[in-house]
Amino acid sequence: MLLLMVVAVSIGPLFWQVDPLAQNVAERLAPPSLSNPLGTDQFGRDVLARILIGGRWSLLGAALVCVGTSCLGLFIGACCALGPRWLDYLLSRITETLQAIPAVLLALALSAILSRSFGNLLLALVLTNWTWYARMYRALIMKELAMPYIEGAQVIGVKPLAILTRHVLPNLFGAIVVVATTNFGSVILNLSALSFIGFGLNPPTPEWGNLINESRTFFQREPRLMIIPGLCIATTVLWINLLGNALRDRLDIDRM
Amino acid sequence: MSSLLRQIAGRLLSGLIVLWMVSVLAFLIIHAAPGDPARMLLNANGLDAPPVEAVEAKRRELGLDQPLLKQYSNWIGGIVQGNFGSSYHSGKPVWLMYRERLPATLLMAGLALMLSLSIAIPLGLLSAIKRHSLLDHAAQLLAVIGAAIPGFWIGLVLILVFAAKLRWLPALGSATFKGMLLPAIILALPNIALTSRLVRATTLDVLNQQYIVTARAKGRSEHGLLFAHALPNVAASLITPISLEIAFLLTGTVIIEHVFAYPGIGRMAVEAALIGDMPVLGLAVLIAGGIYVIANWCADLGMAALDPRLRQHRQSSTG
Repeated sequence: MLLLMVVAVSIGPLFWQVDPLAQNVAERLAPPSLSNPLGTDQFGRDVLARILIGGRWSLLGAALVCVGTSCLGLFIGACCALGPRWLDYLLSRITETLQAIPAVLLALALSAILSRSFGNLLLALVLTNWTWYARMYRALIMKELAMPYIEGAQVIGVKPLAILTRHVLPNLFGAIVVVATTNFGSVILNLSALSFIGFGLNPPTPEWGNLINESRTFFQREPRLMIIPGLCIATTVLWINLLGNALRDRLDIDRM
Repeated sequence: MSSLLRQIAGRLLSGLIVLWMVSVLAFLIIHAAPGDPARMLLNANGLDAPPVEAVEAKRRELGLDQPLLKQYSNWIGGIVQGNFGSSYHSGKPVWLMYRERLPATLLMAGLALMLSLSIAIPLGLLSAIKRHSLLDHAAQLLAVIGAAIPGFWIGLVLILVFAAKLRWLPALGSATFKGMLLPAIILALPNIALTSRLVRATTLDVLNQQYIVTARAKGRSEHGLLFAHALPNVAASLITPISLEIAFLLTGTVIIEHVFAYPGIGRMAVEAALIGDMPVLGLAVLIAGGIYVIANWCADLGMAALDPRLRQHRQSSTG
């Protein structure tokens, strides 16, 4: 099902070659028909095409945020676990500070400081989301460092950096994938929420969050315009979460 | 014992450090924003094209010509005295805007918290006792679905059903019970999903411990087991997650208030961010950080009060 969604938004537009921006004033708010399977919106644009393209932005954006936060979180977590104690204390307090402030609020502030664009929205999400990863990776790396084989490596004189890259990271790979997957869903939710309240892609370009925002004016008359993108978000996040849970059970990584 | 005291002191200290860092962050947010505060404040006071001298004078008045560190100490000094600056948009003192809006948000978040706890705790307990029952599976399904649905969207759907179609509740939020019921329900939903699972896991954990087995072997009834032996420990380990939930609720209010046009501080923060009214945003950051730190402190104290092991420590030291 998840695969279906990813395939649909990645190659779907190749098959459904309707311009998501093409306006057709004569067919405004048209109900579903053969030429427009999901109907049209307030400007007569094809909803199916907009959902497919919009999904691309949503999923790609969330994926970029996940990769960014994973890297940043891993780096900070490694600094905490391997660096001197004062560095660990300082970074832990910074992490806690950022966790004290709702991520949405911070992202709002950041996107008010930076100019409003999709890239900056993603940047704001990375800068506000890494704390959770950093805490988790700090704990995971520390746990791994306490293993007997690491001590063995230290005894035979392997350098700390080599221990990290050659021994710790490969063992953490499974955990990294699980952490990123379990977080992917909530990133999609955050991204679409911020985009819904007006930060992110500018209106003509569709994205699942701003599609819902655009439909607000008409949602009593045409609930379809609001319900479809919401269902897309909900099903995608649902399947990603289930995938994350299954991966966690399979790789036997306990929840922290 | 001294280790316990030191632990509490350490938590207090790190809370203070976090609070200080939050203030630095809020200050930086206010100052990093594009635009000249002096000019914006003059505009807000009705001067569309202020003369250069007026802008200069305003800059001096605000202390913008001073080094950044000095500006920070001025700003913190002002906050201690209750001066949070003025809105760039309306020119009103920021704390006045918050005094008008904060009660509405607190009421709604409080209602949401009550709803979420009064549903999640019984649900979690029941699904732990009757494990693998129909109820347990239904609760699990609810939790999985609840975690996947975007709150703002379910908000719109509920408006459609209860306000537009059934006309039971108003579509726009207001600080009345009817007006805050829908937003509070939506705010509570993800928390119900999360907390009920947590209660279930914690209860199962506690029920599997040795002392419960011992009590059962001694012939304690299942009811007595649950209420006298298991619940206190379940409650103790739930304090921290529930205090974090309060911070989580505040995050939710930002988006939900926007959906319902609810007159609270969350919506004010969104509007401030859209027009670049940084002093308003800065105070929102401060308030959120303050609530988080206080909630954490309360959780630590509550833990110390509820956990029998910690209590014993204290009695042995005072006696």
